[in-house]
Amino acid sequence: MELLIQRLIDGTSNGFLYGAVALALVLIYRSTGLMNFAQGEMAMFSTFVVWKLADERLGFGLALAIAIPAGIVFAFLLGAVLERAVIRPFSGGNPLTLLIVTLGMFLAINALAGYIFTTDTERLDSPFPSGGLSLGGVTITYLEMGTVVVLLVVALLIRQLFMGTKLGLGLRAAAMNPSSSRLAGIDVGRMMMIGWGLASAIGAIAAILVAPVVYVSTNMMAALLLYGFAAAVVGGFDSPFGALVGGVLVGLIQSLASGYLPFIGTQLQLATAFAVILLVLLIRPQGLFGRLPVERV
Amino acid sequence: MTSISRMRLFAAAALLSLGVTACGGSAALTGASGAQSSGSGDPALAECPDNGTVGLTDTTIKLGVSQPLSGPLVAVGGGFVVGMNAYFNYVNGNGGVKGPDGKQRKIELVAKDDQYVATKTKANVSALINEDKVFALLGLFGTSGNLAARPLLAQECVPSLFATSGAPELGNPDYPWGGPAGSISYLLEARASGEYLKSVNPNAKVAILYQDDDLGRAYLQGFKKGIEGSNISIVKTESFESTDPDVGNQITSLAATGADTFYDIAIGLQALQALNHVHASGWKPQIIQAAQVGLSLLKKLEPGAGDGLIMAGTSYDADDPDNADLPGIKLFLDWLKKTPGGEKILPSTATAGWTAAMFMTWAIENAETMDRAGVMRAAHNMDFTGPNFYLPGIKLVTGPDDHYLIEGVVQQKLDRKAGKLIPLGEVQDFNGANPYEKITG
Repeated sequence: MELLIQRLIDGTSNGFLYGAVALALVLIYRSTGLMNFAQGEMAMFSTFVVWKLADERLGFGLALAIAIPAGIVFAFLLGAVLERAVIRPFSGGNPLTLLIVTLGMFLAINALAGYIFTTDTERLDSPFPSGGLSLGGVTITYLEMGTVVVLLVVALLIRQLFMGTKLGLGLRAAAMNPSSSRLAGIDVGRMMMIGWGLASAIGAIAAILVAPVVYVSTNMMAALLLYGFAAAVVGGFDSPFGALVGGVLVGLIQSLASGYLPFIGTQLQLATAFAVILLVLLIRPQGLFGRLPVERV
Repeated sequence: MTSISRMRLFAAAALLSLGVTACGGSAALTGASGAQSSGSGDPALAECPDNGTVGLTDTTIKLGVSQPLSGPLVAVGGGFVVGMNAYFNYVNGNGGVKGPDGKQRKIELVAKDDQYVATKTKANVSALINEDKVFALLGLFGTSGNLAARPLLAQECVPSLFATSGAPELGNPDYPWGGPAGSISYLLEARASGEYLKSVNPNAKVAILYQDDDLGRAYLQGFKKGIEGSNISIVKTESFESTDPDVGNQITSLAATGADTFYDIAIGLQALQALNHVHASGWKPQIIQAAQVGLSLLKKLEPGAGDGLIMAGTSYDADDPDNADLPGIKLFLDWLKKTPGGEKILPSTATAGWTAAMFMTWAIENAETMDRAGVMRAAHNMDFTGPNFYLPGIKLVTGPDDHYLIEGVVQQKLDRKAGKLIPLGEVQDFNGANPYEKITG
């Protein structure tokens, strides 16, 4: 019983991280109709910025309370600049072209991070106290608790932004119907930049939260991105709420399947993500919370 | 295109591209079997082509190496090659290496990048032999790369010495050209850990995390051999893939057993993750760590994690200022500083390359004939006593029937506060008592 609860806790906190990556993917998909392969690498790069600012030996030794917000602001700017400089010139064209552009960004950012920072594995302190609460045989670490709380707050803020502000209205309008928005006086280009910036910042938050576990390295986000894709597919590519729920579902499936299905064991853990993607695409391609687009003929 | 079909397209592309990266860990081992072999420990008996002096001139000798010089392991391969260059600079600075024919030759090193992909290692070896025409290879990186290149070496009768791998397979007497390796065999190290545990806790209950590949299985087999004839029981084993992002789920399962001993057969980053998770879980076993993490990496553990773990050691820590005046390390540090790239890296990342170059130079100097077979035979009759990094009492000896060079360890305990590994006793010496055995797991 304790083991089951422990697995549920493991799965949920991992799931929120997958959900956060999925949330970033969904924001970009919603604002530009594009799947961003470089999402993970953008987050990785921003995490390296945090590490560089905070590390006492190889960096500037700033407090995490300064380094982390600075890293997130950097991530926002990075996303906005990439949208303007790299994505915009190709927008409106073939989606395959854009897909390849983001793949190219993936490789470029990865190589650049190794060149600018380091190809070594580095440690970033957790923003939360180390250790955790033990109840009976079950342990929940402060990092796990903090991760869930932070990401829930982020999700609520995003919801509030989209649903409760004029900027959010503009963002939604620009994504849904760019040409009408333009006629209504909305600066669509600016909205796209903000959309990318937001997504990049959320990705960075997820990466900073996962860094104490997986450490900071140029390939820290590779597997997380895969689970993020799975979460986004499960939740529906156009639903921010679905992204988080999808993430938690994928985290739970992964943790329970590897714990209780002997043939999966731990060797096929990654494969569970593939299986989830395939199943959902077969049975409910729009995902649990996604909307099926209606096309007027 | 409707957005649903576009979604499908994206998802399919995502699967495809990520699938490719996810498969990276399972480098092919095929091609290792079915090669010609001499069936004897003496390379001179093999049906070799007449090429024993390729790569030699009266004043130079050309050697080749393949290491990951880009990609995720660039820090490992880069440091290795710098270490090699440092030693060869030292040799060349003294006029070169003197062979049995009395001629002094300067060493030229050709380094190629394999990104830790076995097929690239094989292609590099082929190019080094056939295009660059090197005399011999040294320090070839990785188990799978070495096994992939082995048939080529046997066919062309080119020595590949002191590889960067602890695969027990590199001591296989059927492939005399592919050894001895420059690291202690995984199997032997694990056997030593098992025997040590037997001596301190003969009734231990052990939970094991292991990497699901040849390395992990070699460790498992060696550990089981070490605890044979004791009351030690293995209560649970959990495996992981080298591509897994995290090993937390496995630690949850292992911690639930409440075992009194935890054997962490993981490399680098994943070893750190396992140790951090054990620490966070509140489980407090005696930890035995496979010697696949350096001290510099162990210092990146979370505060308190891994304290008191036991790990087998073979050599001094070249990063520790307290060791800087030991003769082997002093020479190394002096030359490392003079070598391009040497001042940027942590000295410990260059020691393996330095050592491989040092052993190679010894084999050339101690050959009976100045050709490939002569150097190969010298490598199979080593008794190295020069200044080096190895802990006192570890013999650096091979024989015609003993293709393992490093066959002793000292168990060490990690002291997090001091940031040091403290020796726990004398050398466990297995020289001559470590026959080749196949990994069957």
